[in-house]
Amino acid sequence: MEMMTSRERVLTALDHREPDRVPASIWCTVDAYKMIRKNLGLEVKDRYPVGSTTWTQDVSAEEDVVEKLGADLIRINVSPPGGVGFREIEGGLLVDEWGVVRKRVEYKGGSYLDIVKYPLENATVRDLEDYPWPDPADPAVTDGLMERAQWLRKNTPFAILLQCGRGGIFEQAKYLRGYAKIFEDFVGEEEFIRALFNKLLQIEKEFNRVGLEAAGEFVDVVRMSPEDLASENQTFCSPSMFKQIILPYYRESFDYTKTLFHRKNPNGKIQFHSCGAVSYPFMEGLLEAGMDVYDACEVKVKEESRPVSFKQKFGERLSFLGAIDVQWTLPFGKPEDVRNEVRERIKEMASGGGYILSSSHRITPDMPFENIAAMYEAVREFGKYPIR
Amino acid sequence: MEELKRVAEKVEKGKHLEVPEEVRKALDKGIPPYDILISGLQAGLAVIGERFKRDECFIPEVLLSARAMHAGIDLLRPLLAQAGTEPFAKIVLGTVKDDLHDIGKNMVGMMLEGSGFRVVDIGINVPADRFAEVVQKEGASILAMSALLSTTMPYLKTTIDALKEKGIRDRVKVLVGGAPVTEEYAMAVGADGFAPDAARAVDKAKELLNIRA
Repeated sequence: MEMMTSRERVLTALDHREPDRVPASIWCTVDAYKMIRKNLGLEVKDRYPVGSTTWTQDVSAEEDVVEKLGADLIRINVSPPGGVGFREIEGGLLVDEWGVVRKRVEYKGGSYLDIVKYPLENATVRDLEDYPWPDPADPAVTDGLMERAQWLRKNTPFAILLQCGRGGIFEQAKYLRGYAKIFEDFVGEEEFIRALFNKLLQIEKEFNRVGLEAAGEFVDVVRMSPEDLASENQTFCSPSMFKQIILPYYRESFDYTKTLFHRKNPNGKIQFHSCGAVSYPFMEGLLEAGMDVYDACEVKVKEESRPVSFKQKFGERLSFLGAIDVQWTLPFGKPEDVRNEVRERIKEMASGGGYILSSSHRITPDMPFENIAAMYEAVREFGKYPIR
Repeated sequence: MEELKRVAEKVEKGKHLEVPEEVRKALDKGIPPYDILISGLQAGLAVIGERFKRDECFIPEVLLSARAMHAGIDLLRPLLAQAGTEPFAKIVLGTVKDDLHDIGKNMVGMMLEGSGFRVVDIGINVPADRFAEVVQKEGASILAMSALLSTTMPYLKTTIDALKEKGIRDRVKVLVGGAPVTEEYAMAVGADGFAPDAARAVDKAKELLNIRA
């Protein structure tokens, strides 16, 4: 087959047809990004613009890195209101644009931010009205976004993924309300849950609106705010609770975003993220709500929820991004283990298109660079169609 | 007995406001506190634990039932102490250093306590030396540790090494869990047992101590 450009490769795959080879993408934390740039012999800056979600410290990898790794999909994102993700308060604690208070915890090569205060833990419905919510209309949110997207479309061969939402609905509710509390609310405080979800839905929609109005015409995929729906073993709630309490908000969010997006790009796709062992009934619901692409396809979960199982069950209607294990293979395996996993995953996921290879979550700085390089080399080696 | 059945049912349904009333009724009938604990509160939570293992109920239901059970235990605790009823064994529980995650650990704690263990929860971000120190001080039979990140998993081994250095490794069984932890990893770092969720942590704890119940 004649060689395709990166964008053709991605669009063909997302159209459920086989491109010349399996496309690849990159998702990483800022600490990992610096490590990767250093290893690629590229200049490393002290700071990078805040990525798609403030607290995760991820960063949208620039075109030089995407090109050197041989990836095909580049990410861009809106900025937090005010342009700055965190403000520092007493005791070195950090407060994000949602008012969630976090503490920095260091590990080998980087740090992550864990919650020390859930600002709505004891809130009532009335408190939600007065809460200082992030403002998607703040001009900093889309500052430079249109220019960046247009430049990338004109000057690079990559497909473009845009994330506008900066927190999500169920996900952000967990961070605002507290993990244990939100699950108790599901059973006892439905009125509160609905009021909170509704508020977060309006914000998610508004972030998507301003982002798409600025850059929609240059974008191929819109990634909704990530929403973790499951642990390693099972979903966070029953399928019926999911369908009654959570899914209606996703449906409205997907509908609204897709309608706006398709005015700018009729072929644009909606991507949704969850970690963990999401089950068939959840996937059915998400598909019916309008999900086109599912990321990041965690590998070490129970059998029904593994990427290969979803591919077999939903592959004709759904594309996948991710599925190279970040829990063992990338941080602890050898380059040979990474190669073997890439080869196996391609065999499982790539037939008929519908698969973009990437790590099954963010790349973190404790992953040896040799393993990261091995992942992108292996997709070039084993990813050529037809897959054998 | 009708009263115990009702206590169990209220726990099963997660009715934390109604459990104390049912417990009081059982006490008024002259049912010994220990029986109320075992055949009422724990029996109710056990039903939920089994359903959780079979994916028939989920975290919200388990949390509500655990809360309901605790409402009953709070009432029984002074009476149990008076009667000199001993729990199965003492378990020191915590999340390893640099790891602040606690929902999974708390669920494990509630299920263990609800199954008759005495749980000493020393919280999150616990350094290896502190685990070893508390295990020694409390004379615990089991150390249960959780690590939720691939970056904090290595502290499971660091903590087991700290037990060895203190010369108390063979006096305590080590049970580990947490999202990225697997059976193979648990064995490789020298733990005695691994559990993928709270319900199975209870089974494993009993197995490690040869408790048949």
